[in-house]
Amino acid sequence: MLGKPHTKRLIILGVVGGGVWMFFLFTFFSIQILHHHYWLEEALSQQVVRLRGRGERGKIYDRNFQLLATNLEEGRWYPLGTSLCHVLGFSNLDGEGLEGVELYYDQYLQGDGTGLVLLTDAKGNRFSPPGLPLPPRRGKNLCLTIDADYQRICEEELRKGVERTQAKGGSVVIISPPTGEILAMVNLPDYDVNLPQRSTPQVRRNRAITDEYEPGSTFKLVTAAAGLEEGVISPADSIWCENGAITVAGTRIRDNERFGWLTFREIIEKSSNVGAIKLAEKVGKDNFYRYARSLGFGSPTGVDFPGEPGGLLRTPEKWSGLSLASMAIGQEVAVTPLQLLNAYCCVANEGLLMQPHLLRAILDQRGRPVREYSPTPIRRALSPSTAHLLTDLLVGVVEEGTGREAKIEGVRVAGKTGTAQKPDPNSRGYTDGRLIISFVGYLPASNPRWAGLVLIDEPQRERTGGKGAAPVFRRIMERILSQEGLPQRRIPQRDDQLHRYVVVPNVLNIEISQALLILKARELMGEKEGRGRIVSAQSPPPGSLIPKGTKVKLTLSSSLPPHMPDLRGMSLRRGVSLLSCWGLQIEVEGEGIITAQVPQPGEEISPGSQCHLVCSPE
Amino acid sequence: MRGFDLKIVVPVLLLAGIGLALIYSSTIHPSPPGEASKFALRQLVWLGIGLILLAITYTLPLRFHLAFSYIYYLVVLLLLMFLLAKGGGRWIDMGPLHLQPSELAKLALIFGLSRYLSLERVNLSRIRGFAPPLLLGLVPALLVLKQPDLGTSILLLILPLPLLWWAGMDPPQLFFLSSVGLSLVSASHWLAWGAFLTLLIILLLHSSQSILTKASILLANLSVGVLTPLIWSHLQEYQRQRVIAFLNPTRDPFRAGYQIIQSKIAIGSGGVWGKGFMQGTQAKLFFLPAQHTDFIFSVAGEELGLWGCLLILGLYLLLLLEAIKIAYRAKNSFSRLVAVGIVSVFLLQIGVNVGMTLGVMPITGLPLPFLSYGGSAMLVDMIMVGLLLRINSELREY
Repeated sequence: MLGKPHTKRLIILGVVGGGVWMFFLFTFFSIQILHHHYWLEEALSQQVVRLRGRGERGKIYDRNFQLLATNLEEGRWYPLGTSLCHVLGFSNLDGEGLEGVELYYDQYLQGDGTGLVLLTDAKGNRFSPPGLPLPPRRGKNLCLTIDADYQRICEEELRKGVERTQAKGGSVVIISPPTGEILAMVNLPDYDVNLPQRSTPQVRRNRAITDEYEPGSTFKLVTAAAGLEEGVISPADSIWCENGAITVAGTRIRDNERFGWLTFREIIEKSSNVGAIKLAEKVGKDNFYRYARSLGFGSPTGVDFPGEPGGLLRTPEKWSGLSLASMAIGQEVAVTPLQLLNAYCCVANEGLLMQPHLLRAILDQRGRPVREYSPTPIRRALSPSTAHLLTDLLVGVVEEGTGREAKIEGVRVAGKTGTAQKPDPNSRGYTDGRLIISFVGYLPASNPRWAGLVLIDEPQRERTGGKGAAPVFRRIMERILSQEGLPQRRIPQRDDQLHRYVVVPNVLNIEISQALLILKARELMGEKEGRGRIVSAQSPPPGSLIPKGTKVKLTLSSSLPPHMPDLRGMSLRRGVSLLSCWGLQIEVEGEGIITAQVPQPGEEISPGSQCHLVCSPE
Repeated sequence: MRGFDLKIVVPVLLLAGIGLALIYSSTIHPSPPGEASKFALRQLVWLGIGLILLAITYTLPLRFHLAFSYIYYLVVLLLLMFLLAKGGGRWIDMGPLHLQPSELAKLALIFGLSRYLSLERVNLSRIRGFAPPLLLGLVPALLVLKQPDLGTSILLLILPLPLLWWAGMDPPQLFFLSSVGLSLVSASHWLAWGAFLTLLIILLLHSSQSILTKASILLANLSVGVLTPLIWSHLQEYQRQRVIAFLNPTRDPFRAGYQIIQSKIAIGSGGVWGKGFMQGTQAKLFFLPAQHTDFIFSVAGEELGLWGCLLILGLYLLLLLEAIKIAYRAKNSFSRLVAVGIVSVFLLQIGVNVGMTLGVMPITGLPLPFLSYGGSAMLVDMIMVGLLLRINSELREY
């Protein structure tokens, strides 16, 4: 039995067994060496849980690196408690931002989505690893534009103001006009952000950004800006104020006093409704709407905060016969407090509308900035000269008019009061007598550094913006000034310059009567040369800076000008309105300031011919 | 101690020691830490009992087993039927002892087959000669399949083939014999079955069988290929899933394929040097199923790495080579066939189990000899080692 057959079988066994053995070796090589990293990753991905732990969330600081939000053993901790509650918002126990800045910048605060590292077993139990070498990565830190000291001041003063007026609540926002940085933002009532569950969602709303209201007289800024920029009025022009009441489309609108003739300056100072309505009618629907849009109404400011609405500003075709009059005095529109303040900041900032924002920088764990916010202009809404004139009028409001309670010793304050009725939720009118009073202003008028809005909701006493809100503004600014001192002026004696010099407006190719009106608005005098109705040349040319009261030579011609004017450097709005009287077919490319044009300046044009304008933002 | 072959004993003890360590490591969960492993302790007791059984087996002459071969076989058949009668299951509870008759069936089948095939008058070229061994395997295989235990059942079904081969059956004849089974497996895919059928036809054309035999073989294969879907529908759902999972592990990662993937993660993440003893997270975090029984080798792969796997396979290789040497030199055909049967069982179990953990074989639930946790298997494995040692000692008696 022994011998050959067994040897043969052994060989077969050896070959087959060796083959299987080699196959296994190859498989080991493949799994454990070639694909080792793949399987290791697979193992880690199912065994390691990276929690976005609350202990790993980034911290939040104010602009001076005062701590606003940090992490303790028990969770997120906000050292200031109620202060800044609406701005900061809060996060949940899993370290996810739920409201406010905590929500808006959640992705940065959470870092790369890593945090506590835990092991998990197949049953889903989690436990801390015995020395697993995976250090948790922390979220980024935030540095806000908020100044915690300003915030405290605003909060204290608003609280006093709300108590004094026995109001339901209120808001204060402070912005740095040149940069758009939000320095303080307070809403009352407030809540302890460490215990958000004890508050209602209504109380947690950052109403300075998320709530819309009818602004009332503070919206007269739009009326005034449109009137001045369009050249339909100058501060010294007078308007008949109808002895305190006007009827528009069957509705009677009254003033607080029976005003007769008032200058434009007085209309703003005394906040005459009739005067504002008559001015708005001069400005016209479309212009009024354009300036309102241009100043940022009807669209969100784009502030870095969740849930910002755009306000309500209907397009002119949807207006009723009463609408223009209503809007002229700040009704039939809805704005957010931030929107309104930002429009005033635009005036303070010489007509350049800035993007308001809350974030100053994102910092890594060592405090190095990962991302820094730089001031971002949105658009040029007004010419600098118009802005300067508006500032001048607003200074008058504080010095002579309704805003006298906001006057501060030693510094010129520009501002405007507002007293608006709250629409009755049960009817379409304003019958139940609830008010929102406000004061919005900025200082120093010559070189504005702080712009602020004080808004008081449903006051029971001192129920006007001038009496209820302006003193709060004054006290806040006095305390800020005493802390900061008066700022150094960038251009010394700029106020005097502003009063002596003016930019020559472009009055080419328009009717002489209109040209004279525009020059008058700039406190310049027109000197006619030649015959006709149309200005064909002007000297000095548009844009030059000349002392007020200087004569501008206007060369007249009798017919419509056959030549294309030089529109370069003008705003699109202005350029289009200049061309409008010739019936050109205008095509526009881009937005902002006109940088190129076809036909070239001086070329002959005829009605109905093509015109191409190229614009670019500033 | 004549014939007490250290080349057998040392690898077995080393493997059992590695098994104990891996069982200990894989059954300690990190939370709460420090809870002692009762599995390792129990396995140690089983190893002790197993060694006693090994010693007893070593002292018993093969003649004794030759005499009792069919008795063993019948007793085990009765145990299996008893299990079936009481409604299925794998274990007979005897106080603290849980006896697993399917493990004993391997041993009993080896004895039964060896006894039959060592008879001088058996003519393996005739159906009357080779049918009884196949039936010897088929009966316990069916009983075990009913438990249900697909792995052991297939093992019992296949075990007669190597013994028939070693007893002198012609390889082509063996191939025709097993062709029906191969047909069954390959019928799962038409392409595999087509290839198999082509091979079968070529071999049939070259064989010296009668036309009738050739035709019946071909017919049997064809009918099995058709009947497979029917049999398929009679498999247990989890058994079907296992086969499917083997064919395509990524198809359903949360069922049967899950086990294969978890095993590959364990072995693959171990790399060359392993994560270190007691550092295998796959097993400790319950990702690896049956980590101390069927998938103990995955734990070795994870904690000890490639070198650990090669060490274990090397020890098995030493053991099997020595066992084959013993089988080769055995003094009579009964001893030789018993040794061949033992080698076959070890080879099949190692190959299927390791192949399963590597994802190249279906999950059949066969334990790894000496390493997997399990009392009955440990005892039976030790008895087998004792038999090998006894055969070794008897060939030196003369």
